[in-house]
Amino acid sequence: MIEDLDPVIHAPKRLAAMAVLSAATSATFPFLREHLGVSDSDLSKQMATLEKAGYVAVSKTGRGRGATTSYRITRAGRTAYSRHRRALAAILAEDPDPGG
Amino acid sequence: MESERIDLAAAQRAAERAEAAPYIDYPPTPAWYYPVGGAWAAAYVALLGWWRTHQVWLVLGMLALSALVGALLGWYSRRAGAMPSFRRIPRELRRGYAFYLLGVLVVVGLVALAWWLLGHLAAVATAFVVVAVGLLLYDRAYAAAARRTRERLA
Repeated sequence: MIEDLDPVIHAPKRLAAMAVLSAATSATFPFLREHLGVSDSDLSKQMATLEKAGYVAVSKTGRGRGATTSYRITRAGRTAYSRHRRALAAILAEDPDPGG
Repeated sequence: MESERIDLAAAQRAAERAEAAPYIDYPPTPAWYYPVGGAWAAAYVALLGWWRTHQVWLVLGMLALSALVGALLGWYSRRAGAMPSFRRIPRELRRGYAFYLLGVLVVVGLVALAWWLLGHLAAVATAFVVVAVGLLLYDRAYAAAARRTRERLA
């Protein structure tokens, strides 16, 4: 079970980003930044890691100050996130003290 | 080991809160939304009255109304920052979505009844009033359910 926890997703900020994207068709950079409570550079770094793993896809619309960066979860990302969530739930459902 | 479980429990809770975010973290609905929604429905019903006599205008009008819905969804998506995908719906909101579908059926029924009993113009007026009021009531119910979700996951 513990081996099903995905090290890419397990980091708290990336877990929160994947959780938001798992329930949204897409989310903008400002929405994720506000929800995660992180700086622009930190969010960029976290999202680049998820993108590199193939878990999110990025798209940009507009130019200059009006440009918007959006993210959506990929099929591989959805599968990995679901597996991670199931593993979390299963570990927590186990009796912590079976002998007691 | 225990501290690891506490960390995992915190991670699970954070994930649950983040999954709910696209549904419950949204800007307030502007006051113009309800009458505009009513006007959209009234225009739709008005166009339906042309199905025998002005079929080209009926098709063009329907396309224009569809384009308006697309523009509204795009505007909302940019404004809210995230569009719910109807996956992982928080439990407090599931009943609201079911009532929304039921509400659509009630609106269609009332408009059809007004058309049958009182004529086309009455149906247009009914569509405006029922949809505007329905959207207002739904929005308030949704906001209350979103607040309950926020409290549970706080």
